[in-house]
Amino acid sequence: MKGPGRLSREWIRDMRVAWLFLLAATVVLSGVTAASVWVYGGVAQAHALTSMGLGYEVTFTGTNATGVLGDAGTVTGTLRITVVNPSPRVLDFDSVSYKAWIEDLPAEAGLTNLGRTDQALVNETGTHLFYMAFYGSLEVSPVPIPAGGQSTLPLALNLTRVSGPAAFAALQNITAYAAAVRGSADGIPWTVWVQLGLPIEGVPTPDFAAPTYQFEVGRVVISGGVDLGG
Amino acid sequence: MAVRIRETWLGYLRGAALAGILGLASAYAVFHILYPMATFPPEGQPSLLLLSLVLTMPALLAGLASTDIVPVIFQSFLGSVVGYVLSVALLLSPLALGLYSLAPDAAPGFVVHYAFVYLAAALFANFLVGLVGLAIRNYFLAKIPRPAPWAVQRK
Repeated sequence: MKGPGRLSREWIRDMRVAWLFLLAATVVLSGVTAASVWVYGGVAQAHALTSMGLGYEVTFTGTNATGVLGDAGTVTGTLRITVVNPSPRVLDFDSVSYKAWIEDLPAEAGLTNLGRTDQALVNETGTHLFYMAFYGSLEVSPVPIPAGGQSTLPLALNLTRVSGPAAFAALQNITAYAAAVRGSADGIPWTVWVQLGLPIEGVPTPDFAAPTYQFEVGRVVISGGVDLGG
Repeated sequence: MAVRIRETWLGYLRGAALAGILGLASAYAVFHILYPMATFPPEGQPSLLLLSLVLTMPALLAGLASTDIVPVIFQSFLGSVVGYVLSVALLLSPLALGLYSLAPDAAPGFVVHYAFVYLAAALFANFLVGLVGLAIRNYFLAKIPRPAPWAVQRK
């Protein structure tokens, strides 16, 4: 007959307790590993699948009848940035970098001494020169983009003679040229580029001594439009 | 003879099972070190407490479940190899969703570059802590009264 003493001696001899604990450790390790794969997969999805749509509109106020921008006028660029987030992680609008160029018609016509630098855009219709009228980056108060959903961030940018004298003078020159040559300054082509920083909610910020790649994990960076440089 | 062969195979099987558990622990530790913010639990930097627990507890239990020093050495080395392979597999796990978070041919080098030291640490932890477990086992085994020789003779 097996007494409790003999049973416990057998358990010690065969280390069955150790095997039981090992089984429990395996279950726990498998659980945290599976959870890690799920978390990592969600972050990878956020990086790989997030996309953005970019809508923009530029309006001139304070113009004359032919659309020439006056000294008291304002140029307003309105961006509508829509981010589609199919991942299971919630993202936040956090920072926006933007550049907007207007086609520099006088420079394309070969006028010199304009005192500005343009970027070239080559496409199927030829080489076009663009002047960067708006650029900058700003932090926005976090706007959540739900998991499996989408969110739109409207952004209004204003340019006046006071806020950006050089860019404003260039726009005056370009609109005046268009009015003189085409009869109207309406419909001058613009091109826009936007880059977004979208932190992933629930992903901690790495320690300052962490390897560089870790800083990219918790933040989705996507861009839309064509960056002409400058 | 058959009993001896069976025991040898059981020994290998036990060693392989223990190496698998040690490998799983090492892989999780390496994964947590490489991406502490994208593992569970998410941390800003690798948690020393968590890593200590993950690397020492299975190693101690594996030592307790081992019969000799040779299996401890065997399962420590095999555990590290399994850990390396599993950690590469974990890094490439988004491939199951069709996503490339890391190029498949870059992942093995990535683990070696950023986590070789930790893999080596896991190997030593598996070995040294395993020896401690084995010593504890032997200490307790020595305390169990052995059957007297005449009991065998009487049989």
